[in-house]
Amino acid sequence: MLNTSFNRAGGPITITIVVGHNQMNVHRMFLWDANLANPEPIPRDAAENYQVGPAGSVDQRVMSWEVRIAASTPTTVEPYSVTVSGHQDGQTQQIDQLIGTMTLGVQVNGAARITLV
Amino acid sequence: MMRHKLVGVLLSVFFSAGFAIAQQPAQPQQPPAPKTPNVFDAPLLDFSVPESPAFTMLGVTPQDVTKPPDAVGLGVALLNATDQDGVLQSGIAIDSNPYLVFKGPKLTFPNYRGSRYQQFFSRMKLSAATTKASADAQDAHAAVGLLFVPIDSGDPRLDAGLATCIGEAINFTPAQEPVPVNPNASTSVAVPLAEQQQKALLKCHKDLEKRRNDTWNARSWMIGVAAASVTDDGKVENLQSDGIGIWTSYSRQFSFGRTNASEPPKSDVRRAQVIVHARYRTSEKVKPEGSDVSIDQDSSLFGARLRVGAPEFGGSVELSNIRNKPDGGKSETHMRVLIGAERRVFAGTWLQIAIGRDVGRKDGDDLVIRSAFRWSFSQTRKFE
Repeated sequence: MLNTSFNRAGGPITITIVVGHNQMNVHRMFLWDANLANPEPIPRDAAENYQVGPAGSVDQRVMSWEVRIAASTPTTVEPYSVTVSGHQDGQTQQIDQLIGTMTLGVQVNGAARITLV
Repeated sequence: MMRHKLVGVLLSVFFSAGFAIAQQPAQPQQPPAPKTPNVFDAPLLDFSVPESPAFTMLGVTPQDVTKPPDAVGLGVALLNATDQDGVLQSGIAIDSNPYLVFKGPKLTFPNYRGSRYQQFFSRMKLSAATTKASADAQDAHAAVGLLFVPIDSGDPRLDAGLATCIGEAINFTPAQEPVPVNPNASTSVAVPLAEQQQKALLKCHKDLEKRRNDTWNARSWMIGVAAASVTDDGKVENLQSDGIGIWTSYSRQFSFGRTNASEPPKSDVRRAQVIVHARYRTSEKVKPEGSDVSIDQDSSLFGARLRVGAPEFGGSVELSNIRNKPDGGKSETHMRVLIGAERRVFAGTWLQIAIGRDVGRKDGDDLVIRSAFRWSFSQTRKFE
């Protein structure tokens, strides 16, 4: 599983998911407890940013993302990409990026444990 | 001469078919998929032959009037064709889009729909191709070309109905449990969509196909530019410039059956398309008949083409005005009439043939016969 660090004394944490290569998509995120149980949906704001919440409340918890991507044509091999980034106090860090090719569509699943430093 | 060309065309078709059978296309590796729909459920959206700008520059397209592409396919295209002199040529073209390569992860779907700039560069195609005459010929040709499509009103990403349908097909429902976290995964993992979502997506594309039966020939405009080189002995160090070409094509639906604008086009004519094409090429190396010495020649072509088609078959008639100006010589202008047909053999693979006549040449009218067999194997979807 991926690990990502944020500032314990910093402001709220937000996550963005960018699906590139002009592909149609839907996505959602969940926040799990440290034991990978009790998933809760992470709410989104109007700008499609996921609001993980205050930094102090999420240490060692795990966030997961599910992204469904559909190709614009059914018979061609098309590229896709998913970039997951974290934001805190104006700072941005890339948590994960996956680039590949698909036919018809694909689902991308990922997760990262949050560590506060 | 006529017999020679006919033999060339037959050889092209014969060897092309054998070539296609001998080489099966490589398929991209996919993770294990859930049971997927049958191949015959897939809509036939590759309505027409993909155009590689480098092939256009090398003169191995059976038609002179090149049509704008319906979708800019990327990958590798193989070709066996007769060139403009009726000589059998084999070629390979590699098409790519540097904008997608370098900017792809930042190009989102909502921005694409709202940005003509993003549409313009996302449809760009960079193509490199080589052709070589079959048998013992030593000369080889190469070209690098760029293709731009400023207007493509048949772009599926701009179809609001398709976007809505796909959004509903792949959306999450509140009842769907989250995917369990895999503590051993060191990065995101891609898996095929569930069978139910795949079927829903295919239905979306079939619905689009029904709509595109009326719009496959929608308005589009493309601009191509390419540079060619040639070597007489096949050695790279002896490559020399074979000129630069620029061309443009504009196409739109042709529906002469309507009596007024509000009336839908009649079914027998709405599958027609008119293409207007202009091309200019400078400093092309040509060998005058009976001479082994090449001279430079500038040429221009203005033409129009009427295409009538269906998803797997199309026919066309074209009329071109061609002007050749050899270096130090007098310019010559003649007309060319071509009747062509293209047939999709299977997904991504097309057979093209054209026959016609040059009229008004100073050395007499001449029969023109060309054929091509194209295999764009990177575009094929694999159904298991």
